[in-house]
Amino acid sequence: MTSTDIKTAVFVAYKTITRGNKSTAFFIVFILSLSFFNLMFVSGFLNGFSDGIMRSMIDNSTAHIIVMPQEEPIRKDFILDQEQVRAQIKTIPGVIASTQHYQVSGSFAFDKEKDGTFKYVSAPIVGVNQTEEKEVLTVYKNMVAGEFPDDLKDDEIVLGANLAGGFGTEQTSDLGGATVGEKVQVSYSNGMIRTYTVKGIFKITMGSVSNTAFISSQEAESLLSTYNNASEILVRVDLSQSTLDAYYSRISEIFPNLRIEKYTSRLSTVGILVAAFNIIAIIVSVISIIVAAITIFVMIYVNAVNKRRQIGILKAIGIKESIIEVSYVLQSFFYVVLGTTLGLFIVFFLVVPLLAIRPIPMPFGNAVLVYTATGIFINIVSIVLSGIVAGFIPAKMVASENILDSIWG
Amino acid sequence: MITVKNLIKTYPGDVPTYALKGVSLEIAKGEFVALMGRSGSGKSTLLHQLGLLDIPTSGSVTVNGTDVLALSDTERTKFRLQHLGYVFQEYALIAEFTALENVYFPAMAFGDTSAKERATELLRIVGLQERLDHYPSEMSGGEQQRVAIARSLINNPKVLYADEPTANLDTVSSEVVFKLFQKLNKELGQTILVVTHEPEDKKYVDRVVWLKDGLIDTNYQ
Repeated sequence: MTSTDIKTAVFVAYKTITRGNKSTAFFIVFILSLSFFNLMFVSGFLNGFSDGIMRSMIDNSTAHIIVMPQEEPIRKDFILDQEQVRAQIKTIPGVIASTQHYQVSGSFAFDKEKDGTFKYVSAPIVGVNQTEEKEVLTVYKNMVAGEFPDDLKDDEIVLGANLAGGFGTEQTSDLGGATVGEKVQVSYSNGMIRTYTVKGIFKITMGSVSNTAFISSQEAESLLSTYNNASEILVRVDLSQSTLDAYYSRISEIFPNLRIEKYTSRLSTVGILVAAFNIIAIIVSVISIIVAAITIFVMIYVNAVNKRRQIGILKAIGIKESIIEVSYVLQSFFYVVLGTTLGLFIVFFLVVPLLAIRPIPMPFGNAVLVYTATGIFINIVSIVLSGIVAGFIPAKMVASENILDSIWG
Repeated sequence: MITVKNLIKTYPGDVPTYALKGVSLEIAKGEFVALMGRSGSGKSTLLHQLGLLDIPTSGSVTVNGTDVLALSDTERTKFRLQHLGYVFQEYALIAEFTALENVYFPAMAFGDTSAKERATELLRIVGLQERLDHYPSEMSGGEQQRVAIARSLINNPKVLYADEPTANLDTVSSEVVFKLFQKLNKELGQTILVVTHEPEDKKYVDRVVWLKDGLIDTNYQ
């Protein structure tokens, strides 16, 4: 094509758009915007679902990186001198915070009716320093009763809702409805028996955190007869500064004897769920692109058929078929760009704010639309390319018709 | 200028239609010829073949020494743009273009940079200098046909074909159009072949070619 041909095609496209029926143009753009919105919403929602599951896990259970005691050559129960370990971790650029955990297990006994009838439940117990803990995990933001105080005392405990009971159907694995202010008795494997006052109850739907109880780290150290050690250290990092793998490698280099894991290795069932959602997101995106391409094809084809006479006249006066095809591709491109822009506007200026005002509750929190710049770019490029192809085919079909048939129908 | 030899056009079907049965014709440069005949005689079909809007079944057509039927599709399109002017019965203007745009567009597609000035001049010649920016829907049938004539002349065609250009016009407008053809022929030496079924149009032309049942009717030449 020469520059004159392109100029001619642009002229035809420009005049056809500006002098064409405004209602039809608006309708085409609107339908295309809905197609693009469909593509964006479904992929964004499914990404949000996967992202929400992972976020819930990072925020409430594992943080980004888990540091555990050494296993080789000698298996140890604790990370020794956890303060020193965490201080070294803190020197890595991009590390936000870390927290120490002591993990014990105990048998809970609770007399709900105060009539001497106890219900016994075994559950994991985590000893934490809540001042440090809240820099890493956000369990304290999920309280359904009472509080998770920074200065949790040695005789105080915070229970998960599934352990406390009373939130939903009663289970054999819950205490039958322990409430804030009530006392629960815990028997530890080393024979110690302690009585704690329930300070708060939290509920986290995702994972098994709600089966857990929290006590203070001093209390855990007292129970385990240890000091300044940890069963695990959770590390929160800034992923905008570096990748998870980079942080993982750096910590592994510093502590070659400790066992280091990324949160992704703890996903297990959740991981399968996330992988399934990612596959569904890809399938739905591909289907959405195909549906969008067919929609564009139909719209442009109807438009081209309606312009058969114009196309016939253009050919009759000696305009090359390629010029006519390019002019229709340009028109299609124009409509797709407008539709995509409108679709982006609907997503980011209508639906996202609407979901912020009226959130849809999900097991891991409120549903959000999650997008990456790459994902948005791929969606835009996919729909624009579909639009160009879907615009070219009907233009080619109509432009290759016999001139007289085109003019007189 | 134009030499047509044994031109045959058959439309296939269960019962094939023989629209042209072997037309041979010569038109000299600067000649103004009317193609007349009854409805169904093959006038428009012949003009479609000469205007390269359709492909004949057999025969040959030479325009200014070029065997136009030997040209490829692309070459035929280019030839149509550069050397032929065509006026349709139903104006065939592009609804989205103004009168001026309709006229200069074929030249623009040809890369002619002075197209706008010449289009303005042509519209002045056809008496539409006041209607340059009007769209076809804002003009009468006669005015639209004059725009179509101006458009057909924009690339200085070697020959101008007109297919019943006054069929949809009133008497006054028809007269304006034929006088315009006459003027173009006399003053600019434009070769014109016009299809008409109005006997009174004979007075404007140099020669009448009669068609009957797809053949030249020599009795009336």
